[in-house]
Amino acid sequence: MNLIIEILKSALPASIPILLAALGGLFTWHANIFNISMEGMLLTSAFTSVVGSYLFESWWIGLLFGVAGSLAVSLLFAFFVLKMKTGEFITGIAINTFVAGATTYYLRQLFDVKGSLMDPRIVALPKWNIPIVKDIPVIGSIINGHAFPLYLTFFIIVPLVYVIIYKTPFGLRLRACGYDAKVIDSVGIKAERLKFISIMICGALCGVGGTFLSLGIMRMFTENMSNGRGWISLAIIILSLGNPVKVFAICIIFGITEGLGLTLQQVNIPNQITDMLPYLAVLAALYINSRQSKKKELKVKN
Amino acid sequence: MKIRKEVTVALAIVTAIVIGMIMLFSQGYSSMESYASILKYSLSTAIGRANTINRFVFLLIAGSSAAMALGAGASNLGQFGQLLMGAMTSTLIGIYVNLPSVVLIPLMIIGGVAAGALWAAIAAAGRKLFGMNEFIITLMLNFIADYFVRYLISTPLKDPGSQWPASRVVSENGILPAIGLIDSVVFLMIAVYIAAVYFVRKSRMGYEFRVMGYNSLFARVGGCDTNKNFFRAMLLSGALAGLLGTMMIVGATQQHRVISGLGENFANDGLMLSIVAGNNIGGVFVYAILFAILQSGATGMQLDTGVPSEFTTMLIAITVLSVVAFRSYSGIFIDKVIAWKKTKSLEVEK
Amino acid sequence: MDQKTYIQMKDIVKVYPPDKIALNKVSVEIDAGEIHSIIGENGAGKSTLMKVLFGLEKANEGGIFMEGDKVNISTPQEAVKMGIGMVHQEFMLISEYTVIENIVLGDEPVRKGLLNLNASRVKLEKIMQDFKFDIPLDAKIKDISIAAQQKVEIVKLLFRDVNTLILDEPTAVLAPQETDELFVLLRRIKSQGKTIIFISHKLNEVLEISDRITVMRQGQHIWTKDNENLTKADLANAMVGRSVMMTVDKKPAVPGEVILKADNLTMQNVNVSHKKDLDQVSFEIHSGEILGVAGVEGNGQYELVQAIMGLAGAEGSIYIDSQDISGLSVKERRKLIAYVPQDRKRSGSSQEESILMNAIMTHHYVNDAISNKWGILKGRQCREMANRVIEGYQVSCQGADMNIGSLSGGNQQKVIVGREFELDSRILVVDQPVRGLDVGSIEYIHRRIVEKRDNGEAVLLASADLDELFNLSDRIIVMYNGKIVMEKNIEDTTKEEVGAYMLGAGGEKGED
Repeated sequence: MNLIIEILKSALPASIPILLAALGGLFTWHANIFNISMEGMLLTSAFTSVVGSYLFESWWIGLLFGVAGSLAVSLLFAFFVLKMKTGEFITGIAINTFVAGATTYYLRQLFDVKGSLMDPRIVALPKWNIPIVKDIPVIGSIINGHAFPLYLTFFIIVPLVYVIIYKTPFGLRLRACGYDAKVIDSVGIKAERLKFISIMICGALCGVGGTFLSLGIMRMFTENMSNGRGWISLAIIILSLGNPVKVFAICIIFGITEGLGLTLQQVNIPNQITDMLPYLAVLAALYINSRQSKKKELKVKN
Repeated sequence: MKIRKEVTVALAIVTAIVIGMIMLFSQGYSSMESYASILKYSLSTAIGRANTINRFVFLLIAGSSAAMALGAGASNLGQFGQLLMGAMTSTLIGIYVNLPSVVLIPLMIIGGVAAGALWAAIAAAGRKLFGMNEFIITLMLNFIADYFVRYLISTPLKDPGSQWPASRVVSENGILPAIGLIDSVVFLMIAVYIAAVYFVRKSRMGYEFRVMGYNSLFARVGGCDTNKNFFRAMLLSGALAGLLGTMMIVGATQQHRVISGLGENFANDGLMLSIVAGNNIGGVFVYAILFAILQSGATGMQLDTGVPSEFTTMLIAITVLSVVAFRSYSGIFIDKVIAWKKTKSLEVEK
Repeated sequence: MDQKTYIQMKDIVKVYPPDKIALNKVSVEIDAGEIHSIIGENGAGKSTLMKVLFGLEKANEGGIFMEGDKVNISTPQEAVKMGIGMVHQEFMLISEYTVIENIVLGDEPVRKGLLNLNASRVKLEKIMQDFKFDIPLDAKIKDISIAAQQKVEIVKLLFRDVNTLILDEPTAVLAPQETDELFVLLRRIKSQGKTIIFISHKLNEVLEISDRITVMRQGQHIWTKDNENLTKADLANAMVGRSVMMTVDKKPAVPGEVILKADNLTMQNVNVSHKKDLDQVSFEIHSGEILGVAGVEGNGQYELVQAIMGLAGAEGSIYIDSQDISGLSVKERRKLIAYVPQDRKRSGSSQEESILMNAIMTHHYVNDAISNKWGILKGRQCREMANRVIEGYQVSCQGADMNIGSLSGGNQQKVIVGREFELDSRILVVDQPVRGLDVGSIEYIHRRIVEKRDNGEAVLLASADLDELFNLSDRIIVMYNGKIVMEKNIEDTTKEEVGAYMLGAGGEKGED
């Protein structure tokens, strides 16, 4: 029993980087941008947040650095896609490759280490104790005591994203832009500007996600730390057909299957096999989803 | 007023190199020296050239695998998984089947190619039978293949003598010899590449693939069986990735066993090569040379000048961005110039 | 300058990349409160001129003046601020959104940062009352008729309090009776003091509705005149620069045996379970005959063509020479049927590829001369094939290696028509073959279609343009709600009668 609680307790924060990246990616998805640069944004912010936290021995400067790093990647993506009119997919892949090289390069240049950076100077994001909840048995021990962005994400960001996309003028325009950018232009709003804003929002949310990865779950940076989370978030967005509530649900399922995998390891199933579970879960969800009609045809072109 | 494609590409590459120089300079390195050592280690010695050539052909097939699918409008992002399954299968054959080389090596190749194709077929079938998005399936299958192979090489098939997760080495008979410094898989892969280019450029099916890559609806209306072709393109793409994985086992310069992280970067490089070449297999050639030189000279540069070898990864990404940006922007720019000239010419008439 | 001149466009030059001169120093003056028509054939520049006025296209030279003051309109938003609105030929509506969402888009009522659609309802209901509109505000666009969608576009403008409404070819998608209704509405809008710019190439309509008429040809302004004592011939001559025969010269048909026969074709609508896109459609086409298919867009004509080509599944049977082809794939059917699809950019060609690549489609497996038995295409024969299309169908281009996308619409369509007509088939299915083309190309393609008929082929012509149908068809069927509601020889009917059936006013098909 204690074990299961432990596992669920670790599953919740594990889902946060993917959830934040997916919520950010929702905005670009609705603006009809085939955005795969979440991977690079997460990795960049995981690195820059550690740098910030190390240099100033402060978690909030770390968070600031993390978001700034991710926004820099968004700017780069936006510059190429919107100004230079390059293909979204190739731009994303090239940026991800660049970031993978650059984080490793600067890890060596700045800290003279290869692989991982751990240091007492790195300050982690503070963990929150929730009054009342923390005293509830079982649930309390699962929910309580995580780094604070987890609570912000669950209780503020998710509902906020839903409201922005479905209940505000910006959301109405953003979705219209995704359906047909010409319509938006014809009513006198620059579709390009909407796209730019959506890329920036995506960058900001990925920035928090990446920071959470290196300063919330762990207190270190490792090469290629994002490890495909950006790609998974994209898969989840496509699965959810752009609905933030569904994104939230799938991310939680993803986190729980990850936790389930960890449980199964205790009964001597090898960890590499149980590690597959979340990906199989995504495939299962895709299968169920494909029975419903799909909205957009994705195509990889330059 | 028509700027040739080659000029645009050359300008783009020069721009990327200059950006790289500025980056090196800002880090306090000598950029000239760094570039020189890349060239020195990749091209000026016999061993360096052999390394570069080896790398080049692997990149060539990685790019062809991606271009085979993407060029036909099939979003196969699963080269990594297909490559791993190919490598794993041929390794298994190489370890457990005891036959002379002439039979064993073809058997390993067939097994590896089939495994790669099969892994791609799962994705193709998912789309065909259930309308699932192949883009997501191939992506997920990469992770699944990765963990599956990691499991195999760390538990049931682990080499007891190895400290790290790794399979046993295949039997002597499962290794192709080197010809001088050049790995003989190089010739095999070049032959496969030529066949692939010929297929896409000249065959009826290759024509259908290309049209589908540009406009699948037009192909369908024209009577092409787009469903079958989609399946074929996925299989061929998977087969090429499987071949690539097999070559990483049987090649004389390779390790002849599956280790963790095998072929990780080739899949990503293959995708970049394909798209930067406009998903045209023939166009992959030039960019593969460029990538190969940069990658094989990277370690030398680190030895000589102390620039971390990851710098070349960044440089490759910058080159790709620069090429695609030049390509799309030169079109816009030229149009603007022509429109301006035309407007002025109207002025003169008056 | 005239006192009442409201909008003046002066010396407008627009060059489309790379070097197409769309507008060559065009000047037009629009008076306040008039209905001003701008006519010209396709490609004359009338839409471009209006896009410049509406800020969608940036002019390379020239200026716009409103009530004498120079204004800078570089975005639609600025145009709307100046009180100018535009209804585009292709409706600018989000089909997944409701009517009210579409109307307020870009100008949304907000309460505490959130959308507050109800705040607009009062204003909208007043507009609807004033102008006698009748549209369900909460229906989704995809669920209402084309004519209703057009009204949504107009309400969208009135909601923004525009003074000048630009309507780009508004009647192209309407049946004759719907056009009449639109004209009543336009006169009502004019009587409220608004200015209307009406773009069209249909001479009758222009003469009926306009106060003044401007004619454009090949990017140039020809003349502007008051609509007094003008005749169709005056307009036609000015538009084309020569006198035109608006009808095709054709001999009476000599129908032979039945070649294509459709029997009880029925197709279920994908979205709505009780709706049928095709409902027991049966007809025959004889050799040497053109069967016209009329209907308001969305009444099953498109689906009928799709069913015949095997591109969409349908119940019922299709026979060619009394052999059932219902089970055949698209590939097999294309060996028997030449097909010019309605959307030349999406389904008729591959825009980013060469003329050569486009010209050998379908031939690549039908025509044994251009490939060998191993499935390898023969380079030289493919090129000859492409050149045969280019030369045989008057495609003006610089060789077969040019991208088809860089050709004009007319030349692109000639490549497509040439490719299909070169197929060795006895059945020809043409769907909107001349939509958006210039008069020269229209005449040419029409002539080739009649030629095919005279060679004994069976031709099915689907078109939204009644003039085209009456010019070419020997027999005509009208579709409404997926059913054939009328079938007559062309000499036994009139455009008015066909129009009535198109709107469902004609009731069900007669005795049979």
